[in-house]
This record gives sequence, C-alpha cells and structure tokens, in this order.
Amino acid sequence: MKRNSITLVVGSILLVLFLVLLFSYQLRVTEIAVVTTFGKPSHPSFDPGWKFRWPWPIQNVYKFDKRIQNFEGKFEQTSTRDKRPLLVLLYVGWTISDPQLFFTSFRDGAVTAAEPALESLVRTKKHEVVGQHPFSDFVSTDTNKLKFLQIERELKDAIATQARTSYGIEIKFVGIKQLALPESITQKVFDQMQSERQTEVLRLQGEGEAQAKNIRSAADRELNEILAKADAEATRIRGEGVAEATKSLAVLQQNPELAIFLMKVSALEQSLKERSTLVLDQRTPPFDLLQLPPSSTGPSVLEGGATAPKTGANK
Amino acid sequence: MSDDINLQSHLEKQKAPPPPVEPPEGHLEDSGSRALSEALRSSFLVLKFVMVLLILVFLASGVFIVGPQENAIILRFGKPKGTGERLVLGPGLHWSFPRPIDEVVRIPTKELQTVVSTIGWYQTTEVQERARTEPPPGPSLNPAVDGYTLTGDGNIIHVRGTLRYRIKNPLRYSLDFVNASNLVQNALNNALVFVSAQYGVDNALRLDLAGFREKVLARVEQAANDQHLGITLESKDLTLSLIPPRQVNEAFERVQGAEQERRKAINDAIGYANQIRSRAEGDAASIINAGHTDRNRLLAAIAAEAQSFSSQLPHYQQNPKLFVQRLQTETLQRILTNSNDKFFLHQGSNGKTPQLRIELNREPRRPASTNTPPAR
Repeated sequence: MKRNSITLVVGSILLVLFLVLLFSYQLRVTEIAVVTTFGKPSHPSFDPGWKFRWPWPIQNVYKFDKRIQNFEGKFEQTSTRDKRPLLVLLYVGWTISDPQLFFTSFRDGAVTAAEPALESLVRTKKHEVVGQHPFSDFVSTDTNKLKFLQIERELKDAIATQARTSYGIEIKFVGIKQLALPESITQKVFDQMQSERQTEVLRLQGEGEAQAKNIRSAADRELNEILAKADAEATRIRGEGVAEATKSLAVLQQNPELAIFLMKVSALEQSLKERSTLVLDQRTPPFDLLQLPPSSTGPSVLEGGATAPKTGANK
Repeated sequence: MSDDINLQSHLEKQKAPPPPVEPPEGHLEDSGSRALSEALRSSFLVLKFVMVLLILVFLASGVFIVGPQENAIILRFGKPKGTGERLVLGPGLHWSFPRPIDEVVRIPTKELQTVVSTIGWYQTTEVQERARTEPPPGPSLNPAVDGYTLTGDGNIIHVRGTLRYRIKNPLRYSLDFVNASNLVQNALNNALVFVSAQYGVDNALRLDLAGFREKVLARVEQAANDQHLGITLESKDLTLSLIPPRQVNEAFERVQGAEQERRKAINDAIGYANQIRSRAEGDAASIINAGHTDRNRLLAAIAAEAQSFSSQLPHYQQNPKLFVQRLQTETLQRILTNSNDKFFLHQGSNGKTPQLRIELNREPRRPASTNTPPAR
C-alpha cells in the first residue's frame, strides 16, 4: 500500500503539472500575444506573466516580439535623378504593429520571416526616392541645397505606408548608414582630387610670391619716400640757414668794400694753406722791401739772414 | 471433496502473506515471483533515488554568475521579478528557478559603453595598422570592403569614430530593443555620413575639425533622442580621425607644403620690410642731421665773419689805407710761411717780364728748376 501511495502521489503531481501546462501560457515582457478562440482572434494582450487559456482546439495562442527590430538593406547601386550612380545602404527600425496582419503575412509570425519582404520593399522604395533627387541633394556644401534629412524622412514615409498596410509592420525610423560610388568612379574622383590639389599648390605659390613682392616693393617705396622727405627737409634747413646767414651778413652792408676785402684776404689764405708754389713779382709788398728802397720809403731793412731764398738781385 | 477445497483455500491464504515470508513448501514459482518482486522493489528504490537526484539537479541548474561588467534581471514566467532595488542583480553568484519558471536576462550597466563606427575606413585590422602592414592601396576603392564617405564637394575621405556613452535606463535599453547598441553604432555611422556630406574636403580635414566633430555629436544625440535609446553623451567622449584617401595622400601633403612655403615667403618679405623701415628712419635722421650740421656750421661761420667785420670796421674807418696795407702784409707773411716754394721774379730794366720755367711736381721733392735770365 505504501508503494502505491508514493506512485499515486508522483502520478498525481505529474498530472497536475500536465494540466497546468495545458491550461496556461507565459507571456514574456518583450512579447505580445494574440489568443484565438475557435479561430477568432481577440485583442492582443500586453501584460507579461503567467496567463490562463483554454487548450487547443478551443484556443490558440500566438506570440509576437514587440521590441524594435533592426533591419539593414543591401548596399546596392541606384541612380539619382540626374542619372548619377550612387550606392545607398539603409538601416531600419521596425516593430509589429498589427499582429494579426503580420501573422497572416509571415509564417509563424516570426520576425525573421519578415526580412525578405522588408528587403524587397526597402529596395523598391529606395530606388523610387533616390531617383527623385539629384546628386546634389545627397552631398552639398551649401546647407540650403543639402536634403539629406529630408530624403531620410521621405524614405521612411514611403516604406512605412506600405509596410503598415501590407504587413502590419510599423517603421519607427530609417537612416542612411552608408553612401558610396561605384568602384570605377572612385578612380575618377581620385584623379580629380589630385588635379584640384595641384591647382591649389600653384595658387598658393602664386599668392605667396605676389604678396611677398607687394610687401617688398611697398617697403622700398616707403624707403624712398622717407629719404626724399628727409632730403627735402635737410635742404629746407640749409636754406633756412642761408636765409638767416644772409640776415647776419646785412651788417656787412655798412662797408661793402671792407667786407669784400676781408673776404678776399680770407679766401686767399684758405686756398694757399699748404703745398702751394708761389711765383711772385718782386714789387709785391712786403717783398718790395727786398729792393733797394727809394728814399721815400722807410729805412732799409736789407740784412743778412733773410729767410726767403733769393735770386741775385740785378740792377 | 471438502478436503480438497480446504486445502485450496489454505494454499490461497498462504499466498496472501508478504513475499519475504517464504512459504514452507519453497515452490519454484514462488521463488521466481519472489525474486521478481524483490527486483521490482529495488528498482523502485533506484527510481525514487534517481527522481530525487533529477529534481536536485534541476534546482541546482538555476545557479548563475553575473560578470563584473554586467547586471541581470530575472523574468519569472516572463515578468520581471522584483521592483526597484531588488530588480537589478549586480555582479556575483545568484540563483533562480531554472527554465521554464525563471529566465535570466543580462542587461548592461550604467557605466561607460563604447561603440566604434563601421563604415568609412578602408579595409584593415587593428593589428595590421599597429604593425603598419595594412594592405596597400589599390587604384580605386571597392565599396564592398573599403569604407569611405563623400564630402559636400564631391570628394572622398576616410573617417572613423569612437563614441562612449552611458545608458540612462538599462532595463528599457535591453527590453525595448532587440539590439540597442547596434542602433547607437548606426547612429554614429549615419552621423559620419551626414556631416561629411555637408563639409568641403579642406574644411573637414584641416580647417574646421572642431566644427565637424561638434556636428557629429549633435547628430548622434538627435538620432538617439528620436529613437528613444535613452543614452547620454559628453563632448569629450567622441574621438574622430579623418584622412584623405591613401591614393591621393601625397597630393594633399604637397598642398600643406605649399602653404608653408607661402607663409614663409610672406614672412620673409615682412622681415625685409621691417628691416628697410628701420634703416630708412636711421638714414633719414642722419640726412636731416647733416642738414642741421651744415646750417649750424654756416651760421657759425657767418656769425664769426660778421663778428670779425664788426670788430675790424672801426679800425678800418680810422685809417683805411693803413689798415688795408697792414692786413695785406700780414696775410702775405702767413701765406709765404706756409707755402712750399716761392719764386720771385725781378722785372728787368728793359721792362720785360722774365720767363720762368718750372717743373711742377706733386711729390714733396723739390722740383728741378731752371732759370734762364733774360737775354740782354
């Protein structure tokens, strides 16, 4: 009997467990559940935890991830409106907004099952939206012409509408993850960059030379101006001096003959200061004393030891 | 046969007692069934033992460790267990019921997280870069493996960023998103593409690095807010590197060289100009000084002359002839004393002026002179 009771206990525990599992389900905090009663769905439930249900075939429980999913498109080539090729890679954040529609669109209501449909939707809309914008809307140094953010918004709106109506998916945000050019074009861009750099080098060199030259010639000009002004000033000062001197010389007007005589004497002395050879007439005073004096003149001063060398005086 | 019936019922009674009590007869069937029931009993024991063991193992599997750089929460039947302080488990050893009752979810802490951009740089690994053995640049960039961004003026640059951030609400960060840190990373990528698209290549690489960085930070913040990621950033937590494509690196370096040359040429010219200017002022000053000197000298000379005139005038006026003669004689005396050679010509009686031929020489040597007296 003891044996049977143990078996009974274990057996009944197992039975209870089985029934519990049959009549309940767990809802994870990251999930929402849709319960169908005889195939008719009810409102989705959001509260996590342990919940009651009727077992199949009365009720079925479908669970859906309510978190924001990450999706990335393929890095493929599209054309802008002005026929320029551009590679655009988009990343998308989405959630399941309509579980029933989602479930009917994708097997098991699994998130991964939605990805192929999303990819083709994203690709289609990408081609559409990119084709409506010229290349300069994507990259431009003029912030008025750049429409980067607007393009992202347009992509989101375009994708969101169809995602919602066709798949029950809500698009939360769309962003451009990467932009690129086809490989062959990158080479052309490099060539252009190099020639632009070369132009820049020449420009800088030219600018440097021109500015340096300007600075130097301006300095030279200034120098000449300054010196010319100084010369003019010096001349003016000298002129002032002459004018003043002339005033001083007015005193000489008192007796011009004396003045002239004094000037002559001074000039004579100055010019014969040294190294001069003089040839003189014997009659020039004081050498007229070398002649035998006529009685009218003063006493004879002819003596030996006269310092001036003389030639023989002939009479 | 009542004896037979009695015997039968007696045997039956004997079968009823528990197996360990061996019937005195010791029939083969009895020992067999006895062995069987013994075996069953011991296997039930074993079974019970195993069941208990299984339950213990089951419960023990609920032990888990939370690492030093993470936190964790427990979902009981899918619902977070505990609230407030008790909700988040720190690093260490913990226990929960195993699946299907409890589930352990690791969540990030509020410490600094790091994320690195994944677009915008050419193909290489950190190891390669440190050893400077990165693959050589080809003539073009393959978008499938090499990353880069387009600048606003249609050029190409490589850009790379590292962003550190904190999570304000780690619970929502883990539970609202499948992969929130991936979204932070893509916000960084998107910001790099967006800001590159507005900048000219010179501004991005050299002239306005600070502005570039600021705009990237602003864009990441905006995206994080729009997407409700719940993170906080600080300006110092973003590091960027930007380089021109390796294929055109030389050309860019040449531009830098040309800029330096330009600066040097201008500086040299300025130096020359300064030199000239100071020289000019000095020269001008000396020119004017010379003027002053000349003027002063002239004035002094004239003043002396006027002075000497004024002082001699009365003497002259007293006796002009005497004065003149005296002065003349004095002057001659001085002149004759100073001069080197003096020759006197005597006028001949016939009234003719004698001829004198003198060889004049600059050297101090006395010139050879010939003196031919006039023919009589």
